[in-house]
Amino acid sequence: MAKQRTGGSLDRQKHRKLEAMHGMPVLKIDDSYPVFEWFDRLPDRDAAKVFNYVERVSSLVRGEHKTGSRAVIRNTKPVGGGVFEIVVGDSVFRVYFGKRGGDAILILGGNKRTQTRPKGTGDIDKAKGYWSRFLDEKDRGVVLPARGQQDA
Amino acid sequence: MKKTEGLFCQHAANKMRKSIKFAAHVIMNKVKEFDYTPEEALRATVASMGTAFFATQAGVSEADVITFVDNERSLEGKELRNYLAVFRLEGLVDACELKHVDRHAALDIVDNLVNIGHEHGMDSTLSGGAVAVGSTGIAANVGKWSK
Repeated sequence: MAKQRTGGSLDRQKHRKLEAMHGMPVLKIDDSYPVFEWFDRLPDRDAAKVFNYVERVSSLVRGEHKTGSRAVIRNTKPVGGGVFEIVVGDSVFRVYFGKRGGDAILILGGNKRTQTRPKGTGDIDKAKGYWSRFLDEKDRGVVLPARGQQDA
Repeated sequence: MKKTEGLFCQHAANKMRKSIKFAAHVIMNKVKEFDYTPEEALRATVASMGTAFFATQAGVSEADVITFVDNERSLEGKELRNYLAVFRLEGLVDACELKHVDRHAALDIVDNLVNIGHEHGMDSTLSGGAVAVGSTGIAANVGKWSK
């Protein structure tokens, strides 16, 4: 009985490490991380809401269900060009991501107001553009760092 | 565009370690929006922010925190409140014991009290006590009112 508990614990610790290694990759664009910059400007309460939604989407893309995943599925929709939009609960916030190699790669964050500005300056158009560049360069053989590596 | 990636969960974990208020809101949001119990929300948040950091903040051994995070033991009563006190959320347990509309109202009150407590930079013991007394009192009143 005790052995089983210890084994389970080790499995869960390993799982936690793997979870940390997945860690929700974020696209780097021209030496900056638009998602981080946007996320750090949000008030704590809104940032917490965004974090919980993004965490669930990332788990779902990897095929794991967490409590509250259904609500997140209802709030996620494709916007074209391989880009998906997460509507963060009943808030104005939107997060854009693409799917690659079993991961959700976060592209951009924004809100309802900046979602569809004209002449390609809206968040949806920007996210599609960034994602397209990312896929093009990836197809040309530019190698991504191993999953789990992070810039200092 | 350089082809490297950052990691959102690591970034958020750093943010939680820098801002306990942000971590408190993560817990509150899990309870309010995703129907976690306070214990489940605490477990998930501590796993995200790191067991060693949390153990230092709570003044308990990391081994105890790991067994909690790994779901090998439950927290009850004083110990649960002690763990939640790191985030100034002792009153959350009382708020969650209420049902339906009362529960939502009480959770909103706890959420707002957390904001006020953190923003006014109160001493954690004093602020934690104030939140516990405040939300418990209000939650109890809401409970009586509904009857």
